[in-house]
Amino acid sequence: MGRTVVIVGIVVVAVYVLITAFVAVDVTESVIITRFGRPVRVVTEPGLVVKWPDPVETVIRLDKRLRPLDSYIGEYLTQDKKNLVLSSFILWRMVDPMKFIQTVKDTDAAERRLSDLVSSELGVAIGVYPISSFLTTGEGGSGIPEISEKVTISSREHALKEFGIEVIDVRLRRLTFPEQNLRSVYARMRAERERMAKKYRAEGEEGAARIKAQTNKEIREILANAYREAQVTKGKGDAESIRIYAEAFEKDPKFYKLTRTLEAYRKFLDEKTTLILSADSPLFRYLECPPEER
Amino acid sequence: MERRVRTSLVSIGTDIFLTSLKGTLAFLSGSLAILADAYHSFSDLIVSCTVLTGILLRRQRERKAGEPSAGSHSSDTQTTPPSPTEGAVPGYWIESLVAFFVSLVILYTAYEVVSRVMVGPLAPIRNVWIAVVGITACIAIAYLISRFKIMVGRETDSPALVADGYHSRMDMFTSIAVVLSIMGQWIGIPLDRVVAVLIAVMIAITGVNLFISSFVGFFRKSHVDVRGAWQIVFSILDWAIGIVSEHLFRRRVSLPEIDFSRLHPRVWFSRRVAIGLAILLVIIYLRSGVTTVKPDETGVRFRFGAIVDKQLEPGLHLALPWPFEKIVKVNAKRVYRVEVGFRTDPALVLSDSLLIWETKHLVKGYTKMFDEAVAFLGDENLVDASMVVHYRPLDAVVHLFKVNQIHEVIRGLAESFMKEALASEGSRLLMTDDRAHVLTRMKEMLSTEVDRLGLGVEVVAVFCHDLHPPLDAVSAYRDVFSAREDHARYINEAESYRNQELPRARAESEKQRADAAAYEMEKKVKAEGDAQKFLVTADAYQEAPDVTGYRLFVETVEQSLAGKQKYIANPRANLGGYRLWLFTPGASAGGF
Repeated sequence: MGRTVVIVGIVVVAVYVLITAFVAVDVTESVIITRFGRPVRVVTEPGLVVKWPDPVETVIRLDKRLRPLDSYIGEYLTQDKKNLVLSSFILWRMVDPMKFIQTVKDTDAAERRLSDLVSSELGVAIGVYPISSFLTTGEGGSGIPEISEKVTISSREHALKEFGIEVIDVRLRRLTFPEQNLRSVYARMRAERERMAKKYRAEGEEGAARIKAQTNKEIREILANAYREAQVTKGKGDAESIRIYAEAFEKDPKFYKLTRTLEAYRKFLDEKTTLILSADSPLFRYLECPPEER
Repeated sequence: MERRVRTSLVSIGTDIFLTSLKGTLAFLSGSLAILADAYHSFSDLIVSCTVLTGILLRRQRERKAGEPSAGSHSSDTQTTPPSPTEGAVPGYWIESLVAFFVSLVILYTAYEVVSRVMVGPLAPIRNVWIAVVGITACIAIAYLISRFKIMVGRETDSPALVADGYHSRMDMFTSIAVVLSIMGQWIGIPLDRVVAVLIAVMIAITGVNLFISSFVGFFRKSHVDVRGAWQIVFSILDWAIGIVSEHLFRRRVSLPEIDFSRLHPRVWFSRRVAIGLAILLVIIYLRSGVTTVKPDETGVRFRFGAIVDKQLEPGLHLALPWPFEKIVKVNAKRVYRVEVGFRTDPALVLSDSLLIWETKHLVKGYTKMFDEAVAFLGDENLVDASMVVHYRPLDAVVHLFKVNQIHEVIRGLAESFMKEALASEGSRLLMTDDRAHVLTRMKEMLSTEVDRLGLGVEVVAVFCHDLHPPLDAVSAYRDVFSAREDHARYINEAESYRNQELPRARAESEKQRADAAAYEMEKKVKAEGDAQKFLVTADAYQEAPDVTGYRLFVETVEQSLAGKQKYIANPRANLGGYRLWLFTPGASAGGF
């Protein structure tokens, strides 16, 4: 019995020592080995590391991978005193484990410090630019990359020196106006659209009116031309007929006068005519004295 | 009998109390060791419940058997191993099965404690005093209950209860270890984790014990008895205390005698079962070195955390077992998809989600991320934009082992480039199909940045999911479309008027022209006719002008005067003042 117990005891101790004395450092992490809380070694290369067993030497593992972080959303004033609501997107990684563990201790705290730093640098950078350098439809495009570059550079140095963090990239992620201003922006957008809508409609009406007027004008022109031609044609006809009549009548004016006069009598002496005839008229010559007496 | 049940109930009550007390203390202090201890008490609680169930089942059976004493109060069925001639305990397999699952739960608890302890930073312990006082109370309670159990066990001659009592004493020691860890923490030596692991080991031993017991009970067709494995721990402890006390006090102090011969593993643990279990354990252990890499995956082999081989082809791969090597499988060829401005739940989204400016947001499983989607255009107008980015790992290793949360990195970059690209576009973008070049630009910028950062992925495509004015302005935008339509309609109406009226006018003019031509022709022809007629008649007249002239004259007079009212007056009869008066036809009749 006693021997079994000794063997079991030895095995338990050996396993404990093995488990705590050998540390596998992952490819994603850096490891700090502390002896009773005092950092003694930093291991950044992955692989097996030997140390004194717990609790003499303990291990602090730190992720050394690239990490995304969203900074706080903040309201900033541009150079032309417009309020912008911004947040930035930060890519960072821990590069100096010792400094990191001393100044920020863990990832959560690091992210808070980094967020503080970048927000403040952002505020400084924004204040120098007018809003037109963010938003532009002109040549050369938006100035956002330039601003992000500036913030990246200015926060990089501080983060590396103070926190052992490498700031790889800072970019603007959220970019709007404050809620209150947004409403007026929406109102403006609506007004703009309404203006455009009205313009379209008015232009449509204008175009339609122009077409109609043009059409009416053309119609009248067509009709007038037609009238002119018709008159000319008719005149020609009249003239021709006059000429023909004259030519014919010229040949025997006496007869013409006779027949034309008689025709006229026939026409104008209608039923309503009351005639007072003189008995002296040649017409009544035979009425008073027969031809034999003549 | 009744006393045994009562004691068991007391034990359960104590375990419930200890579990909740330790849980509260763990919450208050944030100590991992206390948390682990709470888990430990919880596993004890489960075991106690199992024990009680066993006792109750047994009692029922004994009653059914009608035996007045069931042997004696003291000896359980297991302590005297049942002889083969004895029949199997009815329902033994249910008991074994329950014990088996309970043991799995306990083992999982141990695993849970270890994983809790191993990840995450060590938080400083709060409310140290409360923790110390609380744990001290726990120690006292554990001590009292252990004494109580041992006493009752002795009186009723029940080794099971005695063993349970020692188990409770064990709990007391773990609680002492917890106090030590808190003290160590105070001094600055981080013992919290070590103690927590030790407790996890204790929990695991309980689990293994129950696990083995369930198998033994099953194979022996008997009741499950939760003891045995504890004896090893007790003997180690006994031995250690003996050594220490001998050296310190020159006096041998020993744990009370337990009849190990009756509890010795060999009694209930046959060689065959032992060998079988050992082989099983070894196989399970070795299995951790065997990995299959599927066709769409790439394997990465790690030795002690360092990459040894990062391009393992699909197939079966052997590696050293757990602490030495591991193979991580990466889905290297797959195209991943990142949503910007919205999220979908693939399980809920219908394939034909509506792409309408405002109704879209009502689709099930679709969540609009308003903050993410709102973007500025270059003219300070806002748009609602969302897009989808497809990316593919270039290298199995880089994106997983150099980047934490690649998905979020891509999303953040994509969103920032989307805002950047839109910030130099005009509102025209919304009204035209001019989106292709914006998307191309976004993709270029994103690809360049991803390459520059060396994220180890390749941007395959950027799709515009949605691009429209903010909801507040949608109706105004729609009205612009209507206005354009109206514009076109007005013009069309005018054109149609023109198309109708111009031909009409031309028709009218044609008619007039034709009329005039007809008139001309008519005039001329008629004149010719008249002239011809005149000439002919004039010729005839010339042949006898007097007679013809006279005839024409008279015929005309005849025709024109016939039937007309006439007065013929003789000028000679019209003398002096005589006048001929004409009256209206009616009045004239009587006048003459």
